[in-house]
Amino acid sequence: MLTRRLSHRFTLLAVLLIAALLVGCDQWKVYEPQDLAAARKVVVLPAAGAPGGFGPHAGRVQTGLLITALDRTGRFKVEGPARLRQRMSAFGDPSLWSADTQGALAAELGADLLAIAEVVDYRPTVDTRRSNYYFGSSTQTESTFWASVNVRLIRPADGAIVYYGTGTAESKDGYGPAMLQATDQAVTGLNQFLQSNPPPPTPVEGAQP
Amino acid sequence: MNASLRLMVLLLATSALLVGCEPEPTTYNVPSLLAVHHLLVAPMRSSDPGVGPVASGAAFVHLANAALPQLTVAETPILWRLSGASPATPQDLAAAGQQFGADAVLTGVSQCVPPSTEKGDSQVAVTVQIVSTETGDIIYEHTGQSTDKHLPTAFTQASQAALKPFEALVRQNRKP
Repeated sequence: MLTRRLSHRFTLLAVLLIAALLVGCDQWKVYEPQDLAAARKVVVLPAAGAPGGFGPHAGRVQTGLLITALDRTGRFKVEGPARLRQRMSAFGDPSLWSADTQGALAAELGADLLAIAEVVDYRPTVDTRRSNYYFGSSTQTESTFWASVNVRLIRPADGAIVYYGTGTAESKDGYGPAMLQATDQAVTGLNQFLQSNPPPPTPVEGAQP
Repeated sequence: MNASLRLMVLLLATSALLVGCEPEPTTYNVPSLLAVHHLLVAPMRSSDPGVGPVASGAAFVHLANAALPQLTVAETPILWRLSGASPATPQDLAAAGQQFGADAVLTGVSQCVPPSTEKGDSQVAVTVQIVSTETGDIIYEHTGQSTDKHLPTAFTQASQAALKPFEALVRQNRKP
């Protein structure tokens, strides 16, 4: 009787633990499904570089990878930050901002969403292994390259979050494969959502309602 | 005293101890915090330029996921990231937030020590500051720290810890 009760409790505990782990492992979330489904153009902003000595240049790499990843969805017209940066230069001083500065700038370029990314982790770790033999010893080092990225899609008019995705990867071959894999993971949810939510039909000008 | 009652008393005593050990926010202006309904998230400051945006991003996503009653959170990446502007004083932040129509601006300071070996831990500290756009005063300041092998997790946990008292205050005082 006691054994059965205990085993029942352990089963319940295991189920709860698995549920907690699954909730904790959320890699992506869609906050505004209608906006995401209807979006046709995304402007990608410069990604922030990662913490640490190896990170400062990771932002540029990530911006490029994100442009490619969003373009590969086949759903958006994707633009880099150049034109937006040029227009924003007139508003460098925060005293010139208004409630609608961001919305107006995005509207000028026809952007429905803004994409923004941060490289959270971009560093190598070096592990040293020492082997002792009968006649001496040898030391081997092995490098692992780590990359983690966070990607967000933002509604320009009010700054609300529309999509969030995160990805982490490691590679023995260098930063390139790790960054690529982490970016792909971060947009996995976006791809899944877009595949299951076709775009709403575009209203044809002059068509009878 | 039977076993289950003893266990319950032990659990209550432990949780009371744990609650008692939690540090209080350095600044905690409850009436001003309860007047915040629209919060703008600005980049945090850090000695390493890569740390601030990650920490503010983590705080923004955490608040969006928390879906606190009667609180909207927003970020304006075009303004901060493209202009290169980083308002230095709370008054500058308040002015920028006011123009955006926010009641308060979330900012702060963050520090991070990434692990140097594969099995090492990363350490992250995030101090969240909330600045009232009406007065330019800091109405909330609290620090959260985390140690984790996975750097993104450390950022998430530290931001979460730094926002915990604010989150609890809003949940206790507002109806969903």
